[in-house]
Amino acid sequence: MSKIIDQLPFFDQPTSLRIPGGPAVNVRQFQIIVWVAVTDVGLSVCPQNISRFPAVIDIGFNHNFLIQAHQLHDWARIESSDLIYVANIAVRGERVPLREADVWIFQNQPAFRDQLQEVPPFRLQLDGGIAVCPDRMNYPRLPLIGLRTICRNQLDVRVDGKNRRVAIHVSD
Amino acid sequence: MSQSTSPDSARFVNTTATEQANVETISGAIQTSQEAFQRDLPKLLTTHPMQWVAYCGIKRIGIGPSKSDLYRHCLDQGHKRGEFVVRSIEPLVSEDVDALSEV
Repeated sequence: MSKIIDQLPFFDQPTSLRIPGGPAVNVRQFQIIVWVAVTDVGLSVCPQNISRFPAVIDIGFNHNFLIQAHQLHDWARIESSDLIYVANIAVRGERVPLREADVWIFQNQPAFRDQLQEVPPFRLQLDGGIAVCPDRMNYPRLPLIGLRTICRNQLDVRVDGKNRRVAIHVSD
Repeated sequence: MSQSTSPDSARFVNTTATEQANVETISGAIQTSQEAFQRDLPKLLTTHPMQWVAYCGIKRIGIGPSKSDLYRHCLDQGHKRGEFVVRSIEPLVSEDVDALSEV
């Protein structure tokens, strides 16, 4: 098993972080944050200097990846219409399009949340793509990585509640 | 009642047509590919569980362990983006999604 997230801290108080070239965003207490990027599906490697942004690991979210259209535009620098529209899901009673994309997760510096290693990110393979909420929903506040992604990619997510650290391993 | 079209009503018709044009739909090729996948899924679950499978319309393009590799294989075969799907061979999930509220 390879470790892709190492001693990632989460906090019992609100914190904030800054998206490179973007805004500062608030992180609520007890939210597990990883840094990700989104690309069109099927690239052989993740482009260098790709825009990265925070996402919450949320095992209460029972799909792949959820993001608002403006976050995709402003943070991932991708127009949702450039991603292939493949299906729909219902989120909070609204029809939300699924679009084909790859999500890449960046390895953190051990024990740091917002400092990343200078290694290529790990590709998360998503069945059915990402859900892009219309901006009128004003949801989710931060993009979500759901349990379905964790399962499909056979990730081993371990939460150390005592020390408030998270480790994620992937099967080799 | 007059059947003539005033400039205002013409503008209304044009606006409506534009809005309708902006309503995005899933392409027929993707829809057909998705239906073919769902048709074959019960058998695929017994023969290739947790693999990935690609469909272009009703035609199965390939099966493999990596979505991205299979996607590139489809492109190498000359299939165009937006005309095929690569799906995971696992039971279909509900279209209803729960995303919990933050506190």
